[in-house]
Amino acid sequence: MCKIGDIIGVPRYFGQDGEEVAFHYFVVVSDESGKICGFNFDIVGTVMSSFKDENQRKYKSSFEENVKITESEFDLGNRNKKDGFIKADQLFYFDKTKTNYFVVGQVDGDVLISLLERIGYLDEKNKLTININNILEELEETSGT
Amino acid sequence: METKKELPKSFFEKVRPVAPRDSLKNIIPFKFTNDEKVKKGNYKNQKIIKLAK
Repeated sequence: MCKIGDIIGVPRYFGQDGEEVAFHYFVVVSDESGKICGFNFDIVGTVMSSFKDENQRKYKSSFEENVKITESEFDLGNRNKKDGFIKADQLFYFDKTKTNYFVVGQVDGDVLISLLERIGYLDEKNKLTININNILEELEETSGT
Repeated sequence: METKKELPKSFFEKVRPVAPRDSLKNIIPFKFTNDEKVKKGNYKNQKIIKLAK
C-alpha cells in the first residue's frame, strides 16, 4: 500500500508511446481510487529523476515543469540518493492490480506541497498531460476466423 | 505522511492531453545500488514488495 508523498519504484511501465520503459521512481500525488476515460486507477504519480551532472541540473532546472528536490528533502531508506527533480507536468495513472511497484521512501511534506501547487499551476496553464497506458484493459485477441 | 494540502479526486479524473512521445527522453533514473532485494538488473521479475517503514 502506498500513500500520497511516497516514492515508489516501478520496475516496468508503459511510456506514452506504449512501449515498455525500465525502472523509474515516481512520487505519489494521489492514492485515491477513481476513473479516467472509463478506466480505474488508484495511484497517480509523477516521475522523479536525478541530475546526471551540473549541466543537466541547470538545464532541467530552467523548466517550470520540473520541481527541484535536494537529497535532504527525501528519504530512500538505505539506498543511495542525490539531488534531482520531479517532472510535475506529466501525471502517470496506475492501477495497483496491474502494475508492479514497491514503496522505497517519501518526500518531505514541504516538497509534496510545492509539487501539488506546481501541478495545479501547470494545469491552469494547460501544461498538464496524462499517461493512462498503464491502466488500459488488455483486449482479447480474436482468432480472425 | 500528513500533508496540509491535497488535490481533489476530481482533479485527477479530468481528461487532459497525452504527453509528447519523447518527453521522457534524457531522464536518468535513480539506480538501486545497495539493496539486495532490488539490485539493478534484477528488478524485471520483482514482485510487489511492501517495505517495512
